[in-house]
Amino acid sequence: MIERHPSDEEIVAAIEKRSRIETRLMWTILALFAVMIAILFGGRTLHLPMELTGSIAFALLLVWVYFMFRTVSHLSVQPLPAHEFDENILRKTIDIQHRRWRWVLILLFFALIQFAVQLTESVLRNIGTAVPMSSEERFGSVFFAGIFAFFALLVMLQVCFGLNFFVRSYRHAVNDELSRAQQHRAAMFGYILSVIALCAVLIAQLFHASWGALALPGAIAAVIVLPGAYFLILQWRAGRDG
Amino acid sequence: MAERRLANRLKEARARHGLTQGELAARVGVSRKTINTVENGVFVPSTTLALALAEALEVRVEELFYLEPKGRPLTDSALP
Repeated sequence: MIERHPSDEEIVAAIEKRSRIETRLMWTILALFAVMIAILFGGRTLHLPMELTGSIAFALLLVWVYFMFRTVSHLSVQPLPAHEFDENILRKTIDIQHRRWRWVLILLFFALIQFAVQLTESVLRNIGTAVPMSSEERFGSVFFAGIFAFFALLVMLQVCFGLNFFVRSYRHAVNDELSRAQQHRAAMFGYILSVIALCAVLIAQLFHASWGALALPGAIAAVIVLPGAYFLILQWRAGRDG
Repeated sequence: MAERRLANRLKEARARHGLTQGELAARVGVSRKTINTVENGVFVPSTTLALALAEALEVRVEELFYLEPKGRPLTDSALP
C-alpha cells in the first residue's frame, strides 16, 4: 500500500491540534506552580506545620501528575506530523512556534526567580555565620549557581538571537522581521538595565561589604527576566487589534 | 525634511481577497502579529515584505503602501 503524503494544510491542522493540547498542559503547569507557592507561603505566614502544608502540596502534585499522564497519553495517540520542521511548514505555523517558546521562556523566568531567591539565601547564610561552608554545601551552592547561570544564558540567547537560536534553519524560518525588531528592542533594554544593575551592585558593595554579594543573584535575575518579559509584552501587544 | 508616516491599504486589499490575517501571514511566511502591526501602522515592513505582500494580494506595491502627505491623508480611491 502506498502511503499518501499529507498536504501542507493537513500538517498545519495537525500541528494546531497538538498546540492546543500543549497550551492546556502549560497552563496547568503554571497553575500548579502558583498554587504550590501559595500553599507554602500561606503555610509559613499562618504558622501551619510543615507536615500539613507539605502533605497538601504533595496531594496536589499527585492530582496534577494524573492529569499530566492523561494529557501525555492523549498526545501520544496522535502521531507527530511528519515534515513539522520543514521550512515551508514552519513559515505557516510561526504563531504556534512562538507560542511554544513563549511558554519555555515563562517557565525559565520562574526558575530563574526561584534560583535567585535560593542563592541569595545561601549567600546570606554564608555571610551570617562564622562557620565556613562544608565542601558538600559549597559544591551544592556552586552547582545551583551553575544551573542558574545556564538558565540565564539560555533566556538571554533566546531573546537576543531568536527563538530556538541553536538551530539555524528553524531560527531563520520562525524569527520574522517583526520578531527580530522586538528582539533588538528587548536587547537594548537589557543592555541599559545591565549597566544600571552593575552600578547598583557596585554601590551596594562599597556601602557595605556584604551587600554586593547579596544583591548579585537578584540583579542577574532582573537583567535577564525583565528584558525577556519586555520581549513577551511586545509580542502580546503586537497580537492585539488596534 | 520632517519624517512622513507610511500608510497602507493592507486591510482593504486583504478583505477583498477574503483572507484573514493568519491566512495572509501563512502565504507570505510571517507571523499574524506582523500582518496586524503593519495594518495598524505600528510596524514598518521591509521592502522585501512589502513586495511579498503586494505579490500575495495581486496588487502593485504602490497601491498598498504610500507616504502620507504633509497635509491630510489621501482617501482610498486608487484601488479598483
